[in-house]
Amino acid sequence: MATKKLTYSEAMAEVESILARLRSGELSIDELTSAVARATKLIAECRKMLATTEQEVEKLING
Amino acid sequence: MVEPINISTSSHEHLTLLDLQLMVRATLESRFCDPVWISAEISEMKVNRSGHCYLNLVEKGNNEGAPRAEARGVIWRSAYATISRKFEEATGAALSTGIGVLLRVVVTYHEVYGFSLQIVDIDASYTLGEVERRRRECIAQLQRDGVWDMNREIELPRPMLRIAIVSSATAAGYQDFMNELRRSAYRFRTELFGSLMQGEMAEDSVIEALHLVAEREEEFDCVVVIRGGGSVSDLALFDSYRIASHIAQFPLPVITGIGHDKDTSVADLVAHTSCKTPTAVATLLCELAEMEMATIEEYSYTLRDIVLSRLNSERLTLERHSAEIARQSVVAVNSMQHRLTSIEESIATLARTMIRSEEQKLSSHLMVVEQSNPEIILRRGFAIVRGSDGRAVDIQNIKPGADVNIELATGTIEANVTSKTLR
Repeated sequence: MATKKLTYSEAMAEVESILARLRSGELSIDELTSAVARATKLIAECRKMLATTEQEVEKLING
Repeated sequence: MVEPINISTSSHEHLTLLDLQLMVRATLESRFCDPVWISAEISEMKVNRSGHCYLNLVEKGNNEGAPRAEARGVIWRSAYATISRKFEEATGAALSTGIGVLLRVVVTYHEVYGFSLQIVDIDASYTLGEVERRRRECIAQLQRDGVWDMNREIELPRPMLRIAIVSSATAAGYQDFMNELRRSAYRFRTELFGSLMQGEMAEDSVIEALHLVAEREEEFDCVVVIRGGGSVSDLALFDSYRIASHIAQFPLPVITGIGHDKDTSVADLVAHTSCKTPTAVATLLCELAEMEMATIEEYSYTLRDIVLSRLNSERLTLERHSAEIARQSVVAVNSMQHRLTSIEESIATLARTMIRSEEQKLSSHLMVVEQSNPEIILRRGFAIVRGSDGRAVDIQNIKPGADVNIELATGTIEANVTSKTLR
């Protein structure tokens, strides 16, 4: 499935929304696995984006 | 005492005119057998075609008024050449009217021409003395008038290029003057105010010319009075009180070049400047013009020096400013660089902080997510009970006897519900 590449903010917003649902306990066991998988994937992507951003920032700063 | 002549006449025994005249002549000639020295002034003088000189001699009263004595005189051609040359050599001037002379005369009487003095010699030193006496009187009078220094006190205009000339157009001196001026590199503007420079009319003529110049004084820087060199001059013309007085009070500086061989004339003394000859006057004017030019050149050098020094000083100032600007801009750039570096560092720090914070957030989120992972929950000893439809059992809807599937961390159990208790 070709999904649109999310921005960091969008990804983070989705992670936080999943977290909110997890905390509230409103998720069913059946939904839980996919929600955890989605959140884990988003967090990994965010980490990647963050790493890229850090590299770019360092590159810019150290010129 | 001279013995009286006794002539006895009556109406019957009379003398003829000729008899009487012959007697007068004989008496005079016997009484004045030797020549006598007399002083007199020449009031008229004429040399006729045959070369004899006829004069009228007078002795004036104290106020130069009507003569107190008058007599005719003659210098025969044979004596005239010698006498006139002797006079000219001694005085530098021709024998002429208006001058006082000391003459050696023979008293003569002619029955037709009457009383006459035959001049046989002249003492020129008397005339020189007379001239000198009049000259002194003239100077004293000018000093009493308070005009003696007036012309000399005038400051010479600069430059002096507009020249009024009082002279005779035909005079050699005028030509000499003009030729000398033409040789100069400077362009003089001259105008001749023609005047007689010798003879009886000369005094009035010179004064008239001076008047004409004075009427246009604005057009000239100075007036030069020049007279031809070489020709025998009138002795007393430029010792004339009237001419000297006019020159002394003239509104423009007067420069004379009236070629006196001997003394300086009174006109020379009262003039602003006097030169020996017309050529010398021209030379003086040229020298003054040259000096003026030299002064101008000197000023121009001085001006150039001032300007150059000013330019140099301005250039130094500019260089100083330029160096200062360079220094200041380096300082400004450095300061800006420091600021930028500091901003850069701040940005880096902030960025890193943000990234760290995001990382922490992500780690904490991941932790929460992982705790929600069913696998981990199962490992903790929990189990998922699913009905025959495969969905998690709802305690409200399950009935005893129903088959259920129990998922554990390590495997699944198929079981049968025997009873249920609601909490």
